[in-house]
Amino acid sequence: MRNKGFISAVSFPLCLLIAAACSSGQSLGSASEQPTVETVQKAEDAQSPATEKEDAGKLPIVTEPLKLTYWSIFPSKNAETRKNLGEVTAYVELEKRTGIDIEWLHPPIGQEKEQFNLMIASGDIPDMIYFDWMNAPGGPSKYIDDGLTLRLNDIISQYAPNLQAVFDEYPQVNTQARLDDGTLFMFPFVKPDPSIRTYNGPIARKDWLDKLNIDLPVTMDDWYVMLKAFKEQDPNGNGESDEIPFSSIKLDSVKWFAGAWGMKIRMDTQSTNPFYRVGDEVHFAPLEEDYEEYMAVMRQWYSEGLIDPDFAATDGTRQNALISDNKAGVFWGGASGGLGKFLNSIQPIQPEFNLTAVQYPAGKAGINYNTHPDTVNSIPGTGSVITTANKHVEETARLFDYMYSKEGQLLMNFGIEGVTYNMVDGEPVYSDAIFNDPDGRSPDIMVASHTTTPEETSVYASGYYTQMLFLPQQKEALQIWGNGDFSLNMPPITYTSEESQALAAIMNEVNTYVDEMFVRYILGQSGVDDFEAFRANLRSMKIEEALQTAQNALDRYNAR
Amino acid sequence: MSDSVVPSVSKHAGGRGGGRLLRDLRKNKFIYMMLIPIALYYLVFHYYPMYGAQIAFRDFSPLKGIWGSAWVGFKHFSDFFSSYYFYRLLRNTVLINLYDIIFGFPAPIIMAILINEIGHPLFKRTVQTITYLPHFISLVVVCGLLTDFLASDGVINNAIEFFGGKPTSFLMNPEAFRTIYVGSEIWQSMGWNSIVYLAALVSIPSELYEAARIDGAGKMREIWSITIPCLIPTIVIMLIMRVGKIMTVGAEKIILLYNPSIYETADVISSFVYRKGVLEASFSFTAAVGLFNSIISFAMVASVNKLCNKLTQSSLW
Repeated sequence: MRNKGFISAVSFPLCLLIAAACSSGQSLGSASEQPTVETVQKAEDAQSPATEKEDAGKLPIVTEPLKLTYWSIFPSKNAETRKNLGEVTAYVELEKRTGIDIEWLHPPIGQEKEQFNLMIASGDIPDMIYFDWMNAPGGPSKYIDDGLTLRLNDIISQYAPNLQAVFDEYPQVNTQARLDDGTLFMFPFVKPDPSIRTYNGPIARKDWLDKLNIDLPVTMDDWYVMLKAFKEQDPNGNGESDEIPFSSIKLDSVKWFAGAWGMKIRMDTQSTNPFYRVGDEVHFAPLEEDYEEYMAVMRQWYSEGLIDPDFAATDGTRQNALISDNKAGVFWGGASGGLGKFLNSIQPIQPEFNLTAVQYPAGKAGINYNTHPDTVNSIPGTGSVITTANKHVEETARLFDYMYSKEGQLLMNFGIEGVTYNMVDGEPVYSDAIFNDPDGRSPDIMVASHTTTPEETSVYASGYYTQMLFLPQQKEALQIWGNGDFSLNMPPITYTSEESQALAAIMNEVNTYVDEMFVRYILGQSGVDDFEAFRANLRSMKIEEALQTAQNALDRYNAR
Repeated sequence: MSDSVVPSVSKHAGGRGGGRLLRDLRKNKFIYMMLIPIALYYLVFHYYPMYGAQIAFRDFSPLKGIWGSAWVGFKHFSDFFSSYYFYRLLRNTVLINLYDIIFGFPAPIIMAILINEIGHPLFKRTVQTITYLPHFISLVVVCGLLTDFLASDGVINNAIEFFGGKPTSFLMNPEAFRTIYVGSEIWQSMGWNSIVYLAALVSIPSELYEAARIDGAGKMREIWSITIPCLIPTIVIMLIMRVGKIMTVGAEKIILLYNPSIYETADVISSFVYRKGVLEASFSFTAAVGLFNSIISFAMVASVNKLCNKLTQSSLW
């Protein structure tokens, strides 16, 4: 009896943890059986490189049946029409052409990060993993150091001539796809065309602006005038002052305004990099002088009812409701996920509903900083790796490499010629299968059911995006948002395993603290007005150490 | 379950001592054989996994395995104790539980007594069924409802406005969070938790009530002098089990409801562990916190057990 009381008290809370821990204990044994980097390289050296190159483009890759397991994030856009990526037309065709049978393993949408950690802890490692590696806990180098993924330099130079050609064509891709020491760790999602990287920014109700005779705002003063008018002049015409001039999902959209003061704050929905740069110097917004003024303006806006009174508790669902109920005036969103989604779904019901992109607000310096991290990145961070559990490294490398060939890029971006696209004047153009679905589904949905969504392994074709932006408001948006200064954004710097661990320990506390003080200050809660104490607390959490780590990483990046 | 088997067997044996035990084993071998699966269950799922608790003292990396990870001593414990938020996390966790014990623990007892006093069987069953139902609603749905109702344009604020009040966003007010948490907890689990008390009420002999009535006792007197004393052993066991969970607040509910503006009262150990342990994959840190929680919980259970034994002569062991 006595013993049993002890057992149940102690072991119940622990047993979950330990279940994960003990199954992973087995991975020690199995890891030693797997081919290490050296043995793989030895095997490669044994073969003549010359014949390798010639064979590289040969299809199918395998003549005998080969099944590979592929753990992959399941993009929510594909999920609208497909049960897994194996049903997407481009992947069906890829499997057919290469002869490789892929078994897809998807984490539930929205739980990718937890499931990724649990998958690794379980010790049940698939052959290939597609993930947001740049933002993976511990950073990409950790997984090579720990022996989860293979160093790909020799594998790519031997079996992936098409990816090599992409590296040669775009020097920035070549730099950003690597770690500081030149290690290649993934087959990256590549976005070489800068004109399609500015896909996100502020969106305003065009019909409200027209009704109240307001021009598109440029400076923060213009913004204030616009939001104030939305609040007071009843643009939705229901006789009540129920408009929410600025709607934010959690804190993120409010944080965008830091750009007007030449700063950038970490966001939940963006890359986890909490820093920005001025020239070659790394900065952390809450430590800056201007942070106080920015906070004061946001607090004033909130107290005047210009910012959603519930913003900290607002999720995407609630924001959708605010927008379709004619309450939200301005919000942050993407060209397809924001502008396109709402115009397509609301305009047919309310013909007067209209939206427009607004350029990033310009602050006192007169510069409108676009602080979206993707604006400077050819390698947004996602990609596929080959794990140490993979027994068919060569075939896997060739499979990925095919996605970077001319043929493969067409397949991944546009699908199958004659079915989902046609060549018009040498350019691929989506066919009626995309634009005129017999069931009336939107092109946005159809393109995701036939081709891969931007983020997945391959090279992102400019035509993919521009053809999907078929509304004039969307086409305009890329230019409006593109008309900005990207210089605050950090390039994809990488940390060593040790740096990454130390940084995570510091930033976990710092991020919680900054977020909490951010929202409490805006709400005007008591006891948060002392910025000196705020900064002193940040310093006691070793923020300066973290800044130095990031500075070192940026210096190393610049020296690449 | 196994607990009930052991005492009954030893009663048959009628005493202690090696010889007697052996005789008893031989005599009741089938009853002892029935014990084997349960003993195995505890060995496999509760004793064996405890060796993994050592990751709290290592820098655990799943790919290196438990034995391959380096020892770091009490590093993760000191990281947790020296965390800027340690005191607040501990306070919030304990306070939410304390409020839940003060307000949430008596609720199903009162509920059970009230249901027990209802004479009409159909009405009684209807009330019971309705109060059970919230227990079966998924937590995600409950939290969705709460978020909706408590928003500044939600039902509750509409009512406040109707009576001339000023709407506020409840989920952004740190002072309101504990009330919201404990209140919704009571709403959801009161009916379900009353089942165990209802079962105990059924076993109270009706002669006691008859005798009391002959002596001229009213309803309140009956409840106070018969029903509640008869419920005490059940209440004590439930209380001890509840106190064992004093360091645990379900992370799911907190994560679904909180936001940075109410971290001050809403951030608890489990939500902190989720952010740090699961999202950042610091398994060792999580294990250290789990171990710490277990030790506190064990101490709480032991002391409450002792206290109850002193006060009411009934206890878990």
